[in-house]
Amino acid sequence: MDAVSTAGALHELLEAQEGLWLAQQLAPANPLFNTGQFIALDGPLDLDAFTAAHAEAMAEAEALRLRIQSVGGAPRQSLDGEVPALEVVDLTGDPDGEAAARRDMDRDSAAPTDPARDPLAAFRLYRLSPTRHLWYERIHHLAIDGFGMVLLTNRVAALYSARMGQSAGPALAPYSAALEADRAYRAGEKHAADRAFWLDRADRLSPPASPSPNAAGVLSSSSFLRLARRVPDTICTAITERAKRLRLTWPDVLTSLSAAYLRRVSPDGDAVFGLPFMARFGSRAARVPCMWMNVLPHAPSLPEASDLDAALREDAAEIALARRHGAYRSERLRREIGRRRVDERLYGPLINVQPYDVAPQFHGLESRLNILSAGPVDDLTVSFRGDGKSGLTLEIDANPALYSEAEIAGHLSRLLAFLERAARAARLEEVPTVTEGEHARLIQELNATDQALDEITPETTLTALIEAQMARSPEAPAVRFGETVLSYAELDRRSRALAERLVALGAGADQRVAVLMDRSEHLAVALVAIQRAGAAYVPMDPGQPPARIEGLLAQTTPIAILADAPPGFRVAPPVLTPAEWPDAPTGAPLPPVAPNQLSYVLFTSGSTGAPKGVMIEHRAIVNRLLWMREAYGFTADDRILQKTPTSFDVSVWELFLPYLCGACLVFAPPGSHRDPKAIARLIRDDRITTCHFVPSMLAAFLGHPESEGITMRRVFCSGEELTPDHRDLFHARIDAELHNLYGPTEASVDVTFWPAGPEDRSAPMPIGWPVWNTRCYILDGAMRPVPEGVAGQLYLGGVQLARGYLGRDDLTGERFLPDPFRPGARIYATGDMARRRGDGAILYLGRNDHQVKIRGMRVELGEIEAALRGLAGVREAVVIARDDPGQQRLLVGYVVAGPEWTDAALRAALAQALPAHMVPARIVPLERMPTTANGKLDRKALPKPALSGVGGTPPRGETEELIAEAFVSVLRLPEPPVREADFFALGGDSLSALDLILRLEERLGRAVPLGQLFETPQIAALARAVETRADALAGLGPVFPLVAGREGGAPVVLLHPAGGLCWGYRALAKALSASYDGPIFGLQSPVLTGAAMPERLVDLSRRYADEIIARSDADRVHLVGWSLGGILAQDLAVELSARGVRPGTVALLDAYPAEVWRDEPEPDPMTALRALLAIAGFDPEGHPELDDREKLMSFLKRNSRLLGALPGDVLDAVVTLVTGTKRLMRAHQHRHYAEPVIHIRAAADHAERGFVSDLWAPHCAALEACDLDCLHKDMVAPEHVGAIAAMLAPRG
Amino acid sequence: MDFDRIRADVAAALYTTPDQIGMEDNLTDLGLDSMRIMTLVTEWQEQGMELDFLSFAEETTLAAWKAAFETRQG
Repeated sequence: MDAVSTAGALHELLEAQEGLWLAQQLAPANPLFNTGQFIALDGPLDLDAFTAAHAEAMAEAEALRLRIQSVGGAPRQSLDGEVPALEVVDLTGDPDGEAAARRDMDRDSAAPTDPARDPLAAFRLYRLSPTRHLWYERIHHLAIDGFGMVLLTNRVAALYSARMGQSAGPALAPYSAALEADRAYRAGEKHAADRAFWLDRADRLSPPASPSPNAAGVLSSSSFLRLARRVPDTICTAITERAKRLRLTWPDVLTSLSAAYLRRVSPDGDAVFGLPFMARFGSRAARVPCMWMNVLPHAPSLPEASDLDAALREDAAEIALARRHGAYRSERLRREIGRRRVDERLYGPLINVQPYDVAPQFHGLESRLNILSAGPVDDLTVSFRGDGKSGLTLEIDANPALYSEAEIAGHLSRLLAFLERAARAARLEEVPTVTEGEHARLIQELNATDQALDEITPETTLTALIEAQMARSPEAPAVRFGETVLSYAELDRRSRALAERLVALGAGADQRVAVLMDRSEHLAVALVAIQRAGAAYVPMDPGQPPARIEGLLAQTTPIAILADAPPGFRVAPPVLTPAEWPDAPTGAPLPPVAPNQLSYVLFTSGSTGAPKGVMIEHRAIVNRLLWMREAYGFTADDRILQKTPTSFDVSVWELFLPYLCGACLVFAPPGSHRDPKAIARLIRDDRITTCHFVPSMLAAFLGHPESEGITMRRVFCSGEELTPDHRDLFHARIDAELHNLYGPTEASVDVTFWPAGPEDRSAPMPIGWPVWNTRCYILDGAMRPVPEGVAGQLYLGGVQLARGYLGRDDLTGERFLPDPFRPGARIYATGDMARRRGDGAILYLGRNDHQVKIRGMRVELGEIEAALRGLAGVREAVVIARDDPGQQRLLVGYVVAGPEWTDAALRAALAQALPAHMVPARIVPLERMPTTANGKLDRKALPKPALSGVGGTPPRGETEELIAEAFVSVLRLPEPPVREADFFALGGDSLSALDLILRLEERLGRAVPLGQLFETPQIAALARAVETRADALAGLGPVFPLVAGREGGAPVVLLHPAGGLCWGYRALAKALSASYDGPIFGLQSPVLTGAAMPERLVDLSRRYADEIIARSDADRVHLVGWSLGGILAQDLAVELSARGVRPGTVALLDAYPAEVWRDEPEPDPMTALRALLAIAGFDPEGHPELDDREKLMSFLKRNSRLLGALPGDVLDAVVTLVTGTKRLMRAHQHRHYAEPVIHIRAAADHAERGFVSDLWAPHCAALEACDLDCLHKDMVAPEHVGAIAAMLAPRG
Repeated sequence: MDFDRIRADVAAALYTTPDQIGMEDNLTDLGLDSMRIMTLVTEWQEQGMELDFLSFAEETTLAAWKAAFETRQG
């Protein structure tokens, strides 16, 4: 194979290179494809011997000379490059040469490599002293892998040592050996056998789990985080010994145990790890330094409950089997099983045990190896380096888009602690996931909420607390309903009278009294009376269907029913309506009430079957109420709004907290709780200090004009997820504290709290911290604590737990379990998923049953909802997986959004943010979300969407048709695709993507970046992207042509205003061309196309003068500029005169010289941003709501055809320009212009500022001043340009 | 140290006896995987054998290993 070594011969890529090449094409700026390391050499290095050995080894290692370029659309490699030379950098004179060397390496590694043009390798030897050297090696991953690096490095060491009298050993093998081995494997039988093996195994490979909750859809970054630690010798010894006893290799045991740890901390989905495999055994590539390694997907079974010895043997056998078929490329397998998108991975974290990766042996020198980068990190890579005897290093490299440094440090400590225990464990299940320190923090410290209630009040029953308050403030108002007010004394009298009656009917400890009442003062009397009678109240919504009420009553078996009116059906217990209630107490004794008696029973809907009656005892609800009173400082002058239906447990604090602080309970009129306007009026008119909203209701409330400017002390939210958007909107409109509470009915209303104040920037918003005497555990399926950052099920413990479900001991036993950390205590399984942030605050992640599978992939509906809510103008969003009969499972979204959002627009916008399988098939805009009686979202009432027309429409327009044709030929489609068709959904993969791009470039005549196809794989979207890209860039160049005009005529040059663009001059140019036949063009700011902001305004004039002279031979030029453009025109006139070009007309349109700007306040960034509105032709005053960057940008995207089409970085440049040019204007020193100037003033503006034409008088020979009756912003608008043209016309 | 030791260790790693392995059998096909080969070679090196690790990687048969062994020891 001499041909191979001949420079110029072209070869296909090795299979191992193909995936990398594509990846580098997709991310040409990513420098992480440079793998790098340095070796510290201590001792008397012979520099000549080193240089000579280096050169010899480099000549042997042919891969370092590779050039890879696209030839006819396919990548081809040749050995055309230079043999890399060793650069010796002398740092002996540098006092901190080591640091200088490291900086130099970092700089070198940070530069991306273009495999078509740049050398793939670089080598430097930093001489720090005659006895200390750092040898730096940087090689692109296309030319080397980890083992290849070892081969090369060892070869240099061997050739050096040979010069010291040692044996040199055999030479490196030529690159042709790898090319041949690759060709032979691809054509051979083993390829087919390996393929069959992997396709069979792929059935067991689910989409991989990750320790990061955000891994899905995230690509590798251009940097990585690394933390390393030495593995304690005790662990190495224990693992080596166990391996020996089991007759396994220690690297395999280490791999299995590491996998067991990573699986523990990756709760969502199935664990599939990537095992880097050198793949060189039995291959002619064994001695070739080149890119050869493969990554084998491995889904370990490792059952936690089995004998660990047996499990390790089994796993090692599985890995060995995988290695036997390990030559088959995993990228190929990935494509073949249909994971085509870049983010549809085959494996999650990598586990890389490299027993061969030790420092090379240089004769007479000590060497230490430091790996700088081993390639891009998609998720997480756990590496062990060393030979297991002289010690091991554990390194974790992580994608910084997914992990923080603190999280990696946590994994590092935990993995070592896990290995320590697991190395000796009989079964994995006995090994904890978290360290002892973490356990103490998660279980004890974060739950240190003990609070002795006795210190606050000796009695701990609701009854006693209410009675004490009645005695304290008898005259104070206790209850208000419309015009009716009950004082505490009246409440005392009436409730006592009714309590006596209830006792007579049999009320007492744990007896129930049903309450079928709407809001009124009678409801207050009823509830207090039941507490005083020692019974439990059981609220039932009187508006429910009678059958349901009958069912609840049957479950409740109350001793009496208190109701507004008798139910319309026969009931056994006595029914008492308010008219029948006694008004005056007889003085009969009331029974004592104990803290462990029931206070109330509240029905919650069971997820299946009948409602469940949750039994809450006095001490539980007393804890909840006293916590709230103390935590938020409630006092007697509070006025608490009661608007939540009594069947929803939030009502409990609304109904009783007022009596625990002597405050007044204000009932909202029946039916008003769902009317934002009525609530707003009530809050204002009744001077409410505190109220509660379910977040969806809060959103509706904030959306109503009447809520603007309300002042309260505090607002509580619970019952649904409170979002950061809710919070921010709240604080923008309402002056009050906002608190996010969380808790199930089974734990007395709320168990966690989070202050969502205006300064809170949390996103997502936590549910926070446990309340008094409450514990929150986040546990895995085996009831072990999960680390911070890892999702688990939320369990609750403490005094607020319910006694259980009324009459359903079976259900009670299922959900109320023994506390694994506190003997004798209980915990409640919420069924909610949660995780802790780094600071320990709890995040709610949704129900554990909210996860759905779509086309086999797990989808968190909450994530799609969050993406929808992230779209400007979308106020609320819900996504469900519909399983309608006769149809496949479909994701359907529902939104409350502005009228501009259609189904298609929403889906197109989502497709920008989410993987295709997460984009709902339909998104239905609704007027409002349907809600249940309690104000919660009613999922069942969400309408079934119409699904006709899903098929799509034919391509429209030339670009779409062209792309469709390219799809047909590249993918060999039987018929033309619809414009909604997705390239990858039709079977395209990374390789055919390249074909398509080449074809499109050929047909369109311009480059289409490969990344664009991955971003917008649908025909219509791709066409739009291709078109806007071209259009957008077309209008941004330095010269903006407006009117072609007569050749050779003196040009009219229009100078740009502050935004840098001349697009606003179209009308003016047209008007001027009516009476003038020369060419007209605009000059635009170079900042738009990436230039830096100039330091002085004259720098711009010089640049523009260059541009004008280069463009026109005419000896005369007319200059016209509006606003900043006027200042530019005056200065440019001076500049051109100095260069011998004679300016004709110099017209300044409502521009004012620098000195008037010096006293103006510095524009803040928001003002600068809002100036974009004027540039886009909107009146900034008309849009006060656009008060942040995001809102403004999305408004422009939707409403401005011009600015909306600009790429984001250009919009950024416009913003920079607006702020930057103000600075230039202020600092500008005018040069005197020795000719006349015309100034046209916007006479309808500047009333108070004294901006007059005369201000220009000092800066020119003569001034002709004209007034135009218009505002500054409208001066170049179509209605005024005619007048301007007329004012300038006579001068031509 | 002699080649029989290598042969015996390979057989042990494959849960069989030396006479069951032919000199030309592909050891990888018999189930001796690369990680195992690597640890075996390391062990032999530690016991004082002069071995070129890569010779054991290129071709995985006892015949090839014997040749590699003899080159180095010779």
